[in-house]
Amino acid sequence: MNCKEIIELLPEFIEKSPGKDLPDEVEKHLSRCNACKDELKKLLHIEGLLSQVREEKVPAKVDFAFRIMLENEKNTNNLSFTNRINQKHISLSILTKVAAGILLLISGGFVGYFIHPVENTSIEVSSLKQEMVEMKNLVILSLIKQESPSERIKAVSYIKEISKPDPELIEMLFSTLNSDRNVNVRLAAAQALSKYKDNREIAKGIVKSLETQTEPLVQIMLINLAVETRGDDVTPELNKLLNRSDLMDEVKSFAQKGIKTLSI
Amino acid sequence: MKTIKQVLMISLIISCFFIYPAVVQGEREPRRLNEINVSDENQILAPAQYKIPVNGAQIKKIVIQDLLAEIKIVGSQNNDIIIDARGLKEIPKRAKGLTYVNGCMDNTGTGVAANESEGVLTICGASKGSDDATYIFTVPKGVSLSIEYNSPFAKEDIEIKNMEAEVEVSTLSTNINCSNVTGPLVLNSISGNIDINVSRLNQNSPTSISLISGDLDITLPATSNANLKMNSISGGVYTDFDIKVDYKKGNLKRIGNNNIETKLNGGGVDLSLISTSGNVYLRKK
Amino acid sequence: MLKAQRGELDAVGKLYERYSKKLFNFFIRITGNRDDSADLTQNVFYRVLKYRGSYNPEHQFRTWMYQMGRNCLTDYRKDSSKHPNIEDKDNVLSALLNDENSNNQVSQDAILFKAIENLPFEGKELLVMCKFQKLKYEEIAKITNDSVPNIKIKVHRTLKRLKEIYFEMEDA
Repeated sequence: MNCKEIIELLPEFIEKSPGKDLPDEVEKHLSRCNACKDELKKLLHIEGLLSQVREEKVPAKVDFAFRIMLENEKNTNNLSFTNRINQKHISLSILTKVAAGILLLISGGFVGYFIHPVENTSIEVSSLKQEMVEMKNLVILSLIKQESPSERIKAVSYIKEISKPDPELIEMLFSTLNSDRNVNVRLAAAQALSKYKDNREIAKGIVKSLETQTEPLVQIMLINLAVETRGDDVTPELNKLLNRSDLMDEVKSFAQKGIKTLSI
Repeated sequence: MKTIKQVLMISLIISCFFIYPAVVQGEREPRRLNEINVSDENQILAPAQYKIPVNGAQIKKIVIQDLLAEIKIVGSQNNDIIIDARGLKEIPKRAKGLTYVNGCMDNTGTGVAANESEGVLTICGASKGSDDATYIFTVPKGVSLSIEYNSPFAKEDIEIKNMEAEVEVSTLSTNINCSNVTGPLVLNSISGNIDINVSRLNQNSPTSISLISGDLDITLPATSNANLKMNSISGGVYTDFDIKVDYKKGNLKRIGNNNIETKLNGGGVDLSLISTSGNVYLRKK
Repeated sequence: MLKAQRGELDAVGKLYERYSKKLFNFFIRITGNRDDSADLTQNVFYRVLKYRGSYNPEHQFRTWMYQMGRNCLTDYRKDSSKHPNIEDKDNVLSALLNDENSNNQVSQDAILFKAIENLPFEGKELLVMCKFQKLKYEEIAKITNDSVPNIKIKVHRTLKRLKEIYFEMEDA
């Protein structure tokens, strides 16, 4: 056996007998050939690394979303849908029996559909995708109504993971920003919105929110964001803010710095 | 000699003018049986204890509002919910049977009203007599807590110990002290300081603490997993965690602001510590 | 009727408990991205829920699940080429690299993951199924609709490629 053949077969040998010795021929070759010995060593090292990699934990949000999906299925009456699927499954066994005898009774596509139930047509894929998105939104929208402020902060953080959230979710972010009874939740909403500030509509909403905010921390965060959007509406809004009598000093100085930054 | 006698006589007569009403008052007293003795209002009562007749296992959340006293919460292993009140002042006798202006009626004998509805126990101050008192609430450690302490008349610190569920506290100028807690913690104060000692950081739900001018001093186990966000607008941020600072890119125009976003021990639950002008101290244990 | 339905849903719940971790790890070893893997896992179990009438005994479920997973991966790859990457991607690799508690094992893992990233997709998939998911060749053949000898050859080829890339990176 030459080196090329040995190297070709090494992974096979490693797999077949991990603890046992290699065939005599191979052992003999290895004792003479350093290059192949090196190859073996490297392969064993890789195998070792691969076997030691630890499993990752499933993120909590996946568990949570699944629970919501399950609950949703329990509540909605999907009897008709699953019945249809069940019937198709039963038909499969009947059809295979028939198809064995009579080949021309079923159209090719039909057979293809039953034998490979997992091959989705593109239409099916996109409608499933849409349902997935809706389900995700459901998860978030149900979380935001929770009594617990921590869960509401969680809802806001889930939105941050979506690159293009539905208008429904953006609206939810704004209403949270403007009227959630907990300051920390409002702050979280402001931080989440900062991700989408390049969107003109969202930028305007951020600036407008300054009118109604009274919490200094939220005001400061919104001032920062507003300045970053560089909109025309920002400076007048900041000036309006400065005219307020109840403004805290820190906020005042931020608003002033903001106006200065924008005037450059 | 004559003048002294005269002076004495006159002073006696004059003093009678003062003594007489008092004596007459005293004599009148027993006749006016309904009259309230004004001085009784300031009397401090003996410590009162009350065990709320609810099944602690069925209570998911305790809300405390409109209570201006000193509030201490202690989490316990058992399911009883007990109110300990010290330094209560007696309510005016005339107030008996009347509801306090905030709508709460004392049904515990400890100056607070405790009412349960759908697993939420709401405790609210029910008399002026509790303003200077100290309350120790012993509650099951797995119950969520929500304390609104936003009144400008509130003057005492809030102290929370041994709780293993969500703690939500909001104060105006008073301090918040939490020890042996797991969170999730959602705390904020305008000018109070916040001191926390976390036993282990709850990983299921975010913790968010924000202050305006007070200082935040929080101690976490050194192995805590967290996605840390620490930020003080004009104060300083100090920590003994070995943090590799990960400044956000693209924020060159950000005004002021040392914004630290990093992962502790590979990351975990969202942990947000924000102060406007106070300092943030993050310690490991 | 309703009882059977409820029983079905409970069964799906049990399947989730049993297989969600495996499936999540399948995705994360291939994509390297935690958030995307979470989405993909959710997606598959969503389909499990919707199609719960169309498969039967548990010993076939796993195969079906991986087939579903591969389909979702295909869609995901098509999608990713359309949308640009989000700035702060929750990357397994970057998490490892930023870990201040870096030790030898961790940095070896980091190089390993980076090497895996550079493998061609088909080989990566097979490698993950074989070495991380620890599936037998027979099952992989069923899942991918291929033959056992073919799969073996491809896995071995991928292993060798991985070894080359790994040691190249290590030397760098």
